[in-house]
Amino acid sequence: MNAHDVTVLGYAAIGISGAGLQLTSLRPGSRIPPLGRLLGWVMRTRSGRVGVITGWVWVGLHYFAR
Amino acid sequence: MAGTRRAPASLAPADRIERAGSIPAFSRKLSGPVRLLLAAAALVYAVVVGGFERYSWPVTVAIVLVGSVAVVIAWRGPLIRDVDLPDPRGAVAWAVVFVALGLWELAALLMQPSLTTDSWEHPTLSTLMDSVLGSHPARSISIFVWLLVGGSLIRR
Repeated sequence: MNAHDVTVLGYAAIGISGAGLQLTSLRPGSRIPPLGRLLGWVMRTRSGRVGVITGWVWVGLHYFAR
Repeated sequence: MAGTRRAPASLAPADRIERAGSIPAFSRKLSGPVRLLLAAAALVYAVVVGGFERYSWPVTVAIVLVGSVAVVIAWRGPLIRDVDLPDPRGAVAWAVVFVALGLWELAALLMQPSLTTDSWEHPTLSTLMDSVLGSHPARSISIFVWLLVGGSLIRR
């Protein structure tokens, strides 16, 4: 296993952890909130809304724009 | 009355929202035809913008335009003041995932030969996406998904 594989495995592990949290959140009585509910809480204020939307815009700029 | 808290369960949805501005199209439930129209517009946008070369000025202008509109809508609201705080331990679990992603990405970035030179051994997410986003269809699908996520966020 080389450095490339380790790096990619790290991303995969983080992605699987996130998917696991989301699945866990769907169980009745779970203490883990779904990501959507957490975002709803963060976006209850103007700074939260603008912050989250700015993050989304940054993703678009980062992957597509110069 | 100062010092009293209203019980969220007793509030009608309209009372839970304090509108800092008025953008009815994004603060109300959309009708079927409007949703269809927005989806069609997003699809056309994705196909057209996906046809532009990555990191070119046309795609930059297109992304900035949509992003600017989204930030203006986000600024104006609606603002929902009384959303219940999720369980802090659950919120921390999500924070750990996002911080881990940020640190892993940062580590890969810092292990490149330079900040502007990609590394196959220590790829960042954008380096890994280079091969995926190399074709017009893949770029269009990615941009469409990006728009869907943005539309979902802006309606919260």
